Amino acid sequence: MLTTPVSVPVLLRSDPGAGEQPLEILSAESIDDVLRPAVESTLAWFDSEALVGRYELESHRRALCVEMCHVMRSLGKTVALCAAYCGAKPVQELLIKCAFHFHRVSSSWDKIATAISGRQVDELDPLTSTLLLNLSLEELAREDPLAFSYAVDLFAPPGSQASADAVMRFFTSSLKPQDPANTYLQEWHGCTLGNFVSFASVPTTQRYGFPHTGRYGEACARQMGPMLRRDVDRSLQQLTLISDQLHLFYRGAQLFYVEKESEFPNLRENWLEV
Amino acid sequence: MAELKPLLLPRVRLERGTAVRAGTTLSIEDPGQWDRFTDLLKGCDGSRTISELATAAREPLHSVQETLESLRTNGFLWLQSDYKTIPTEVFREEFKRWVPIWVDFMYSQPWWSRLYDGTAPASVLVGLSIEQMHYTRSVSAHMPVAVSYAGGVADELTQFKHLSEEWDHYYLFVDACVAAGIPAEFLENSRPLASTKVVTAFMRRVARQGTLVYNACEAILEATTQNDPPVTEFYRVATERLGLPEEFSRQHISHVSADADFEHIDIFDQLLEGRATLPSATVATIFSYCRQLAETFALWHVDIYEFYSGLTRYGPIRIVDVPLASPRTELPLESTTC
Repeated sequence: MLTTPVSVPVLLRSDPGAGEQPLEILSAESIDDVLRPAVESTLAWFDSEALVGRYELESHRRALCVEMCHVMRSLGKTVALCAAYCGAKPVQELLIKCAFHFHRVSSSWDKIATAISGRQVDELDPLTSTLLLNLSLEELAREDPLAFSYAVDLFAPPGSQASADAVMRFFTSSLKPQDPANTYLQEWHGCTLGNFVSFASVPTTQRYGFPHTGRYGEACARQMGPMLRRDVDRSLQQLTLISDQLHLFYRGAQLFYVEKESEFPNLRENWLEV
Repeated sequence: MAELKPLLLPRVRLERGTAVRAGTTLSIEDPGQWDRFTDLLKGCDGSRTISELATAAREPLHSVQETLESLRTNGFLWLQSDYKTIPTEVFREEFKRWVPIWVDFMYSQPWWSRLYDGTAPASVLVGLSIEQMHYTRSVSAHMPVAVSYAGGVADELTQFKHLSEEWDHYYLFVDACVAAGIPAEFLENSRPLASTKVVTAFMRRVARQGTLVYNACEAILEATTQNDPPVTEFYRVATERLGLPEEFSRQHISHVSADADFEHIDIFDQLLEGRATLPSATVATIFSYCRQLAETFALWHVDIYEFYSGLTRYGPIRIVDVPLASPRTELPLESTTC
């Protein structure tokens, strides 16, 4: 049977003929107006209740939780990486404090992963698809501190109630109420919203007050100041890639756990572990 | 031989009297020997000699040696006196055992045969070219990293030579896409799928691991030229059956031929020739990254198929549907925007 060629979808960098002005200068508020909606819509990817059906992961919910633990526990290093490559000193300090927080709560993610998988975290490896999400965040951290700061708002930085709740729901929708991991989740949630060292000690963010309900993206935009629309559009593209990568996070879990029937937990493999 | 320390290699599957690894199956004829066999395998952790294993198992030394030698021959374990370094020949044998398995994994999706049969949407084959164009264009984003992380003068020369031969290959994919009906300015303004972008990111990470690890991964990518059906035939037949212009396949075949002419498939072997042994950390890194590479490409191929066949539309993305050329028409006069 011959399939008639019709058309091919091509992803574009910009809307053709949109009449945008690439050299227009955007204020911090306008930058936030461009980037914030991308974060808000991407938070939907944490709605595992809806997505496990779409990706046929119903019987792999616990595996999916462990994969998300791998993402969450590596954030400290990635945020620190962004700080290292970011030229703006105030943003660097903002990110370093954020990295301290993620580093501090990484032990909660280790406990959660162990409680769910029955293995110590150093015995586990992320699926390659999870590793690719982490890698995408690392690339973004090196290339674009503005987009990265907005991406951080997806992963429950200190003081972000909406994001912390979204991450919490990701896990609680897959765990039974009596699951031991819930204790550590509550501990992590409390630490995320009660932390006053990581976020509010940077002067620009102190205005958020206690409990620190701020967004890192907005704080970074304010610190970096006005930017060209062209550069903000590029950051939006980069941020969108993280959204797409979250799709691949689920699709990868489907590929490996459903289609390839990989065993759970995914154990670390070393050709020469002597 | 009694003082060698056997090391059981990963990915051995034990079930119902059989041991399976890398496509090789060993059966235990006497079911009563199964527990003895598995106990012996558990002891093969690279720290105990064959003598010690025989003593612990209360088995005659020659019997244990015979069993272990059979396992070594069949690729289940290594027999070395230590594992600080690995003889290159031992590594090479194991690497060659896995290359076809990794390549199979990369191309394990059923739609490859549907493209060949002409029953998959033509947009998938063209979409594959678009993404290959983006990926090969990004060679200049990871191969120079490999140059900068080259371990010595010889490695640096090898990387620079490979870069000089590879950096402009994406034009062949551009020409193939244009032949399929996609205006060049659309390609210029196009952006890769997130999965394509992360393949580049992955190769950058691999490049930072040094020349051997990078070229081991490149060797797997080049090994696809040995696929069955051959890549050139795949493109020729699929192009014809999907009703795409002949020029489309000609550009792809040119790319395969260019790689073959440059003998890129031999680079890794040439790098190994000057090395009698390899550090065990390098060996472990090579196997880890090669497996991840195969899995990365498998996910990439899944994403390409699902996006270009219209199964998936995720994220706030900007898409233009471009009409494809048929064998009898040249480039489209205008494109449709939606």
